[in-house]
Amino acid sequence: MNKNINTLSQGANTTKETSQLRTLITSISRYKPALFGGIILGLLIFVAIFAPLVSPFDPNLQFPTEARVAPLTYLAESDRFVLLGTDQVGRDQLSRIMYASRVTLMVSFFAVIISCLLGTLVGLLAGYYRGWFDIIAMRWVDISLAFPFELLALSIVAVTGPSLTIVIIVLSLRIWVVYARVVRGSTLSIREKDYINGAKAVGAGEVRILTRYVLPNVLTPVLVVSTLYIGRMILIESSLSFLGIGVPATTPTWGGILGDGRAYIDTAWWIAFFPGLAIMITVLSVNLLGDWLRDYFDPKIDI
Amino acid sequence: MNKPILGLKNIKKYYEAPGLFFGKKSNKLRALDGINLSVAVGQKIGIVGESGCGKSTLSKVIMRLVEPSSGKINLFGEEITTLSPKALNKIRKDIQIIFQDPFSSLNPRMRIGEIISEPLYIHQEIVPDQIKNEVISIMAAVGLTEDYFDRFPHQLSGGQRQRVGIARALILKPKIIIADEPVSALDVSIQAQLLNLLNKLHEDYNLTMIFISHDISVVQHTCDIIAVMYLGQIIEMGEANSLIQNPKHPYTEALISAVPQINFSKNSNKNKIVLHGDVPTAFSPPSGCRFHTRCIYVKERCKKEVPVLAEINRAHHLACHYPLIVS
Repeated sequence: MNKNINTLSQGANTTKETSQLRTLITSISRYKPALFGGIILGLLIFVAIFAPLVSPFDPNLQFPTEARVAPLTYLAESDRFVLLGTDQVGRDQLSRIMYASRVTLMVSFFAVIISCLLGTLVGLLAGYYRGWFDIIAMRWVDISLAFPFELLALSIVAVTGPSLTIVIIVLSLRIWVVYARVVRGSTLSIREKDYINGAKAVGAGEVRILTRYVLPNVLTPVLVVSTLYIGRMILIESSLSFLGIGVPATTPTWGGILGDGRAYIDTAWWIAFFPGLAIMITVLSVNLLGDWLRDYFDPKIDI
Repeated sequence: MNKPILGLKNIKKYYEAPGLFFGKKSNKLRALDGINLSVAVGQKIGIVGESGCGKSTLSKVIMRLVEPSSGKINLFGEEITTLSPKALNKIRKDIQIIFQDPFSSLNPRMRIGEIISEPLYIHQEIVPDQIKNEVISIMAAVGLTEDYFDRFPHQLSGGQRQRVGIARALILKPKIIIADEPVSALDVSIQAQLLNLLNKLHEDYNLTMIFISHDISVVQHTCDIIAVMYLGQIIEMGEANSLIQNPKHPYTEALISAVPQINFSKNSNKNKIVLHGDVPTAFSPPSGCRFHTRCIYVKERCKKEVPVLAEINRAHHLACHYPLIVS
C-alpha cells in the first residue's frame, strides 16, 4: 500500500513539472489511432485553408472535350496530369475536392460549435433549475426531434435561398437539441450529488456551481456527441448538397460532387468515389481523435 | 451549561407527494415533525435513529440546504430561517457539514488542493499567496501529506477522501460542524481512526459538533449528549453515559441492546430486544405515541395519547407515557 502511494505521488509530481502541452503531446503520441486521426485532420485543415496554393488547377475550369477522364491520366490538349480524373465537364477532380473541403469542414465545425454552445447552455439551465424553463425547452426539443429534418431544411432554404450561413443555421437547428437533451440528463444526476451540496454549504454562488461543479462533469457526453456529430454533420451537409438545397450549386462540396457523379457511376466511378472517400476518411479521423480526447479529459483514465 | 450557539424551534419539514388522482389531495411526508434542540458552545451532540427517521434531513435543514416547512433556526442568537441567500452565504462560514458518502461528496474533476481551497476563494478571507500554505496546514491537521495536493479524488481511498471532506469543512474555521454519518461508509478500522481525529479536532479547533449516526455505539464514543430520533421526532435526549446506561424510552433501550457485544457468558443474547417490523410510513405516522406499533411494552394509552418531550431529570428529556424503571 505504502509503495503504491509513493509511486503514485512520483507520477503526480512529474506530470506537474511538465507543461500541459507536453502531456497532451505525449498522450496523443502514445495513442496511435488518435495520432493518425489528428494528422489526417490537420492535413485536411491545411488543404482547406491553402486550397488556392496547393490545388493543381482551377476547380472551375471546364474542358468539355476532356470530360470523365480516368484517374492518373496525362491530358495533352490542356497539358495537365489528372491524379483523380476529371468530372462530367472536364474539371480536375483533385482540385475540386480540395476546394470542397473548405465548405464541408467550415459548415460542420461551425454547426457543431454553435449547437454545442447553445444546447449545452439550455440543457444545463433546464436540468439545474427545472421549472417552467425545463418544461418549455424540453417540449421544444421533442418537437424538433419529431419534425422531419429534410422537410425543415427544404422549407427554410425555399424561403431564404441557399447560402453557406443558412446551411450552418439549418444544421445547428437540428443538432442543438441533441446536446440539450444529453446535457440536461447528465445535469439532473449531477445536481443530486453531495459535492453540489458541499459547494452550496461553503457558500458557492450559482454561477460558480454551474461552471466549476456541473459543467466539467457533463463535458464527457458533450465531447462524445460532438465527435459523433461532426461526422454526422459532414454527412448531413453532403446529403443537403446532394438534394440541391445545400450551399449554392456553384460552390463545390463533397456531397455536391458525389451527387453529380451518381449519374455516371457506371461509366466514370471516380467522380462519386473520391468525394465519398474524403467524407469517410474525415469522419473516421474525427471519431478516432474524439475517442482519445474524451479519455484525455477524464481524470480517472490515465493515458 | 453555556448559552446556546444553535437553537432549533419546532422545525418541521414536509415533503409533498402528489396524490393518486390528479393531485386532488396530496400526501405529506413528515420527514421532520417538530424538532426542538438547543446546542451549547463546545458541545458534541449525537443524533441517532434508524434509516428514514429524518436525521439527514435535519442536518440539511440546519445547513439550510433544504428549506424547513416551518420553525425557526437560531444561530449565534440570529434567526437564519429568513435570511436572504446572500446573507446566508456569509453565515455559512461558521457552520459546515461533513457528508456521509465520501465517494459522492468530492467533485471528481477537481484536484484535492482545489477542493480544499475552494471555500477560501469563495470567501476571500486571505491573500491568494497564503492559500496554499493554509491548505497544506489543514491537510496536515487531518492527516494528509502534501503529496495529495495535486491528486484527484479517485486516487484516494474512502478514509482519505473523508479526511479531505473534513479538511474542506474545517478550512474556514467554522464554529459548528455537522457530521452526517461521517464514518458509516468506511471500514471499521478506518472508522476508529476518523472518530479519534474528529475528537481531536473538536478540542484543537474548539468546535461545536452535531454528530449524526445510526450507530449508537459510535455516538457514545464521541458525544456528550445524545438525542434519539424516531419518525421525525426526538423521543429521548440526555447526557450520553447516563442515557446509555439508563435508557428511559423503550426504543432507546432496543437501540442499545442491538449493539453487538463481546460477552462469553452463555446467556449473552438473553437480554437482546429485537424490534419487529419496519418503521411505519412517514406519510401517516401512527396515532398516539409513534412508536406504539413496535413497542414491546405498549399499553392502551399509548395508542391514543401523544407523549410530549419533557424534562424528567436534570437534562434528560423523554417522550414516553411509561418510562422504563431502572433495573
